[in-house]
Amino acid sequence: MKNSFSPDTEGNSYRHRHHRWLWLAGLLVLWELIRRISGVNPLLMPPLGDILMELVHGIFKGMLVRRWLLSMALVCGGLAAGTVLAMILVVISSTGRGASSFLSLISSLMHPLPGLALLPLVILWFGTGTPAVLFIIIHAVLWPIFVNLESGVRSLAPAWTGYARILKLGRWETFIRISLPGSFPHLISGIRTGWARSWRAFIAAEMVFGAVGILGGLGWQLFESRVMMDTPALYSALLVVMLTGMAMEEIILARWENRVRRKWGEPGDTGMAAE
Amino acid sequence: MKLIKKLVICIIISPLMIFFFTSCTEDKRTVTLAEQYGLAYAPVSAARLKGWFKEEVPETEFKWQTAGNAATVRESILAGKLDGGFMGIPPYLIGKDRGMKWTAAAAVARAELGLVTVQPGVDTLGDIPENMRIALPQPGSIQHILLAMAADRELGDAGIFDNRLITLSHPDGLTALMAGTEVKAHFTSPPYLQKELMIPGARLILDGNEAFGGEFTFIIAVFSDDFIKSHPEELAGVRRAIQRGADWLNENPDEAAAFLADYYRMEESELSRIFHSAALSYGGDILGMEDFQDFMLKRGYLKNGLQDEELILP
Repeated sequence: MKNSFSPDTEGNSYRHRHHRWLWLAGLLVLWELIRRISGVNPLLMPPLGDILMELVHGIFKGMLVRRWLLSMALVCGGLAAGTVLAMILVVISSTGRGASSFLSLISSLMHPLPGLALLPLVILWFGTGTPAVLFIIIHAVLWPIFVNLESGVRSLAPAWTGYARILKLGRWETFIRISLPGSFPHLISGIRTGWARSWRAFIAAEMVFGAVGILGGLGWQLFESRVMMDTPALYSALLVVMLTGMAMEEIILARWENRVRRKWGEPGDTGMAAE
Repeated sequence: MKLIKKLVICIIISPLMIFFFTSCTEDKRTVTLAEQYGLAYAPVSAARLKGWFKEEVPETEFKWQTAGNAATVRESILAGKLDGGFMGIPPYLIGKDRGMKWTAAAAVARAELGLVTVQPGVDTLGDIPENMRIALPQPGSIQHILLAMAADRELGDAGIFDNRLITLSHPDGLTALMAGTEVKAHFTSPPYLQKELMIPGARLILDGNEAFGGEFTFIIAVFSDDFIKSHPEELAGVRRAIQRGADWLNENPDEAAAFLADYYRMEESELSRIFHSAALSYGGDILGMEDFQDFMLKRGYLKNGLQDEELILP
């Protein structure tokens, strides 16, 4: 008998996706029903039509698309920079016990620290522009990727590192040719966590810092709509933030992770069974 | 069967959500007000600390919340969690224009506001280069509208600086200016204005009154129309307490400085100097409502014009 915990077969996944769309439609209907029945102030709950009109206006006549592109460029840039930095840290960590325990301490200290808690220091170090927001994004991304990647490298079968010794590979070459491919599933898990953290950090940073550059991103759009009391625009920007987060997480990253896992095996596998 | 279960859950949840969104009022022998931190709010803080609100309306319990900015006050009043709060005239007008049911009922403070820069070679608005960022509390704030008014008059374009703004709280703006970041100008109010003018090379390039073209009230007290209609006695008491705080500050600057120095974490002498100066004066009539509205209507920040009697409680 199948239950909700049955394996995620293709049929299940198809049904699951359809159920989500149904739930979404149900929530929208519920929104409109509550609004109409309760007579709640439209400044609190604007009509769905107004929100959608605002969304369409923002896309075709407003700055929503440009702001979305700027947000994506910054977050993806930060994600890429954070990933490269994490790789460098993993290589440094593999140089010896001292480096490994030092970086482990730093990551334990920094990983739970919200980027926004560093805000006053960030203003002093980087000012308030793009470098400051990039710093917040990189901080959000770096530690989960580092922790995941390092654990992937550590869990590699000794035979793999043995090959590196036989082939007399250098530290960096060993990482690129053996450790990184061997711990790819871990890296992808880290990037997924990093994406979620960086997306939230970026939106929050912009709402606190103000616009990044001349244009500003989606966080600025939210803040601007809030202070100018444009509630439909606020909800439409929120919708874009939620849908982007969901699309990136579930459509792009989850599929990428599934494909990598099918090819390379689960995180924690030795990697010997891959291909 | 599963569908029926889900429908039942929805039917149970819906009335709860309706209740959540509509349960905005509570029994009113309690008055809930939002206080903000800053010298312009001193009449409110002094009256609260001295217990004058309780004295003016003895049978009423006062609850105080701390708000970070005008938007928070506006949202809390909209949600029915606050009876009143304090803010600049432009955020009040924006709320009124968008349908907020609230009315201005008292002047709290007039203040010397100003745009300070540390950028060499910038002595007027026209000298501000395109890549220079100007920090102020938020779009739609009194500082933003004053900057737009001055830009309109001096440069013929109210929105010329809109893409060069950066939103920072007053303390963060001061930090950014002192740290030599890309923020080279800050539109601020006392005591940050005085502190910034002490930074080497810093100077005032725009004065608030000059930008407005006369005197105006910086902070006003705003109350929800529900509260105004249903609690006239409490409202009158709150207005009396604010005026009492304002009169006390105007008439006893040294005593007020000694009393409030700890609260503001400032040296008593510095606070006394500010209270004695023309940088701040408290209470009086609400000034500048009509001119702010006219400008904001003309430049598209507002859509609907209102009469003075709809905007200010007699």
